[in-house]
Amino acid sequence: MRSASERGLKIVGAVGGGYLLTATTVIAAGAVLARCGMARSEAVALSSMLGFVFYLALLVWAFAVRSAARLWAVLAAGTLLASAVAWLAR
Amino acid sequence: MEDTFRKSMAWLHTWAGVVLGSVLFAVFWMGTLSVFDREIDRWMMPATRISPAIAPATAPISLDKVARAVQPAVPAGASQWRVDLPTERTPVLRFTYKADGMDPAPRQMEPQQLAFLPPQGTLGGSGFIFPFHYGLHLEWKETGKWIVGVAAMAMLLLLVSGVIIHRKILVQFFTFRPRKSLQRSSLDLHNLVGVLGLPFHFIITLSGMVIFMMIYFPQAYSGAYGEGKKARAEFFADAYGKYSRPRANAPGTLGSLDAMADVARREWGGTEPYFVRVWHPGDANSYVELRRSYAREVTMNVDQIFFDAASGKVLHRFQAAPVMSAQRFISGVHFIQFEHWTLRWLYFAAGLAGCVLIATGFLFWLEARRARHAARGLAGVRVVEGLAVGSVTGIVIATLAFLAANRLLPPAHGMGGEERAALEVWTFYLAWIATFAHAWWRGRAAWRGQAWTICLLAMACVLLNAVTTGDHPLRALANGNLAVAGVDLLLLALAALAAWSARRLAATPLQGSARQAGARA
Repeated sequence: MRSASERGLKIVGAVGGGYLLTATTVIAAGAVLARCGMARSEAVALSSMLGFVFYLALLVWAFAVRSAARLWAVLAAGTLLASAVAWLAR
Repeated sequence: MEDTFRKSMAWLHTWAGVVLGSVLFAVFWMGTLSVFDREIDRWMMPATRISPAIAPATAPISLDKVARAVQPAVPAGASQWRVDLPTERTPVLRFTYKADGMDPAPRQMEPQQLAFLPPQGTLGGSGFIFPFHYGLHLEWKETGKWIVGVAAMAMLLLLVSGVIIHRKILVQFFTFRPRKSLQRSSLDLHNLVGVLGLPFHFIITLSGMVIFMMIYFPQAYSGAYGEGKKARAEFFADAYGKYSRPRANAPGTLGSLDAMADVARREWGGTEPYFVRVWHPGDANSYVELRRSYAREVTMNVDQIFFDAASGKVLHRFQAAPVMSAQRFISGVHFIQFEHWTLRWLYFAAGLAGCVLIATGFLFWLEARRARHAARGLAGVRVVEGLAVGSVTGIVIATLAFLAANRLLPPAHGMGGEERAALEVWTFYLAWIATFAHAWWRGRAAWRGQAWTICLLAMACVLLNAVTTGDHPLRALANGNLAVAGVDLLLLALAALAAWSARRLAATPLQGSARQAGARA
């Protein structure tokens, strides 16, 4: 489980996949907050700022998780979910 | 990554540190210097060393006089001109204009006669050191900002993982064994500055990214505004304020800027404007933009008022909404553009603590592996040592070479200023490359050699400043030129510190760390 390739998969997943999930969540959260009545620019600014904290927490989790498969599954599911929310709330 | 959470975090701390330590040190070093970028400007631009006793920054300057003084320098058909007014730290006016894709270097004006100063032929602290801090001068597709952003996320991860892997934070905080082996004392120092600086380092890193949130999340607006350039522009106008109207292509006049400034002052509760910008100068549709100063508040407000240039009628006013105001506050915490000398020095000290944190992290990594790698014939220590030396002492040498070149190159006459500035920048990069070459060639001995180089160069800079401008520290202090005296005194302190380190490195037995090596993976 600590082969070089699995390690590589995890690092790519944590950094790249984590960023993709974060960026999608930021877009979705901006859309949802704006839907809830927040001024649009305010919604975008708030979700962007919180995005950094979200990414940090995600990275800590991603570097601690045991299997690369699990990491990639969670990231993929999360990104799909966030994309769906962004699409619905736009 | 590993079997337990703590082990995973230790692995992350080790490798994120080694891989991104070089970028992080460069960002922290340049950021620490940027705290005093205007003071470095005064040092590097001798013509702008105007003593505050002669021209107090608080003396009101007539904007109408400013407009009359700069108008001959604005080419016909320019899209805008802008003048930034003097502040406590910048005793000169700064003039820029844009025309037909031309974006010439800023020119300085002396505040009493409103006369242009000769080109200074340098980017200075605010033009080279400060942009290096956030963008590494790699402008293509914001590459530099992205590299800095990756390093910043790594810094946050390093801080979090660093706290997790240290069970006895309180005990370690009070532990420093400077006379033990280099490995031991570098780890003690790493823990000490790490814990002491933790709140500052966390906030400064996070706030740095918040400033560039629209670079790092470039599509953030698309959920609320939709896709495309128009939606993006709409978001920026809502968040940061924006007004524009097209040229009328008929001649127009410029009314009284002082009257407009009075309107702005009333609107802003007495706060002064910090810059004035005239759009489409000379056109019938020309308009004037005034921005509110943030010299006396943390928040870098984006308050702005637009006036019709001819009549002085208010066309548009803007103030940021609450969340954006919070974003501007967080940005202000990072930029410290407000006037507060005690905090400025604390920022400087905490920034240096960050540099020490990164450098001692490198040292510990190296000392913990040196003997084992030598025994097993691994190249890791040699490669990382070259990287560490070049990025720690190397960038300091490059910065000093940059300052020395500023005092050694002949003054820029006529419009040769940009070539002169480019030569200074070349000196910086060539010196930096040379330190890496030296480090990989000499290995561990390079630390000592480069420390002595820092000592000599720092003293040479002080000497060169005294010889070429006559402002030796005592005279600068007597004249109230605290910026110049401060830079000189910090250079002397750096020289002393470098000399002490070099002597200390000579005294450390090379095998001192070998006995303890191999304890860590």
